[in-house]
Amino acid sequence: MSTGAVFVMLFFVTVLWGGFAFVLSVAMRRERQKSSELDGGGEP
Amino acid sequence: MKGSSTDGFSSRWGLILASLGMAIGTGNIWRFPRIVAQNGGGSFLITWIIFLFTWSIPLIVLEFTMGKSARKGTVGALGRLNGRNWLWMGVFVGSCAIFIFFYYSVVTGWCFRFALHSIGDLFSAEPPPLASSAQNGPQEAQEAFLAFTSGWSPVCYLLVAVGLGGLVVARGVAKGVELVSKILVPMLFVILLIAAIRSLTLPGASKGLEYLFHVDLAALTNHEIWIQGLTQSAWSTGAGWGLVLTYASYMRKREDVVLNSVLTGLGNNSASLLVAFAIFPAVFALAPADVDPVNDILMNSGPAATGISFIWIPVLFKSMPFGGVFSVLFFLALSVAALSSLIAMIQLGVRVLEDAGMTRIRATLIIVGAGFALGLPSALSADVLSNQDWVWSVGLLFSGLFMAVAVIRFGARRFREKFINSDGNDFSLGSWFELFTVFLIPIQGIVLILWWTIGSIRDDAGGEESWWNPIRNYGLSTCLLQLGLVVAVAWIFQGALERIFLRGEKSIRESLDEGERERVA
Repeated sequence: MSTGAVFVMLFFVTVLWGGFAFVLSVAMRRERQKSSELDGGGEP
Repeated sequence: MKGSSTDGFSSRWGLILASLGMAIGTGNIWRFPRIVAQNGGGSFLITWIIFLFTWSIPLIVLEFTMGKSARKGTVGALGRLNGRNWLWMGVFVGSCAIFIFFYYSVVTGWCFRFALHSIGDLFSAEPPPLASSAQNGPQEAQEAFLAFTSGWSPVCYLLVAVGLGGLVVARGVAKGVELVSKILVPMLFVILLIAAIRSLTLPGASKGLEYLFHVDLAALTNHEIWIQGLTQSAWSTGAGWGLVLTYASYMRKREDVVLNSVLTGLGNNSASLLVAFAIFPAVFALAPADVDPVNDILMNSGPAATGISFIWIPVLFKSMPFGGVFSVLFFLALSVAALSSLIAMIQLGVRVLEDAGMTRIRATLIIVGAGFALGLPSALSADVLSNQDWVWSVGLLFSGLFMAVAVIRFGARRFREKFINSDGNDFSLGSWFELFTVFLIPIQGIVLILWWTIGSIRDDAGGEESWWNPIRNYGLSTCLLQLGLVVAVAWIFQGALERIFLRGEKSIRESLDEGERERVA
């Protein structure tokens, strides 16, 4: 494989798979925060 | 805003998985590798990823927001947003997805049949003959495929597909759609991952990766590659279909829309990339010596564009150790992807009927019955299936454009401030998002529709049949006739639709306008 193709592959893997994993982790962290806020006597 | 149903997604994870199941369909496994190969590999991927961020994700944000705020299906949501004169648009959006459901259920049946047969082959005492040469293997596979589709078997598999999908939807959103998505979507990713790892470890796999990720910057000056990138992004992510809107109408009130939309778009394209990792290296590594892997396999459409999935993949897999197991995995992935998208389409129809006052069971029976009856022509004739695929794929471009137009009429700023950046949202969008709604989505939609119209007329120029003849498989006129009929029928029955779906309720836009006038006064 040429260096250019390796670079392009890493770019797509980072943007798509890395992006998905990152956004998923942020979403799940926010979800846990929301749940703990509700458990802490917030809105029923 | 009252909802007509108390059923809904019980968790964010369930909603995300159901949205991914909706988005990841046969288009990711079947269409994507062929379109990538036809458009020069890495160069195409660049356009495809750009349109993910400029068309698909912004449209998914609009759909999630519409469904969450209106708590209704396509017809009720668009009417509720802007008033009775917009109900026809909701009918159009819903009709595109439902007409696609009619033939998509046939395709899902094909996937089931191939999955079952590949399992049968695995346990068969007398295995089918190996692809001894470039000529025999695919030719036999093509003949077997044509023999299957020209008989009555597709009707039986159609019945199984709509029946299975209906069974899931009838159980409700939490106990049916969400539960099944939690099983099917992770299963799909695991299967694709196994297939990709096996494919990448084949001798000669790097040639496939080289083709897949080779970028030719000069190719980016060709407008065709940009158009194909946009259509693949539009059709594959499910943006503008009304399916996301439908699922969003069942989401919890304090649920986020922005991150969920980004996850749906990125997850769909991640699955496509995983499929490419499974297909390209395998095709280059396993192609017989006298066959060109790009021109003869990846770009080969075959009957009803079935070339790579139903003809070449079984042939190629047979030529490698444990190929039968990977054939099973491939068709299982295709079946799972097709079924999870089919469930979303059935749910869309059921939601509209529920909004009209029907019970879920009765609505599901009607949609499943209609799916079987109106899927029959596509099950029995590849020409009908191709025609319907052509017409309603074009309809989806209008559908996405209409979503943006509805938000523009409502007020892009008001929509963003009142609904997108509302309670429960994890990530607020700035005024820059209005540029996407007001300019980028409409411009892309209009360019696509113009390109398609000019291309249809140009392709027919000098041919035996004129573009205005509606009784033909492809062409501008057959599209305009069928899409126009849906708009005309919806427009004629607008009064009845208003009584059924709005029941005298004011639209959200009218209520907000009145409130603002009173404040000024």
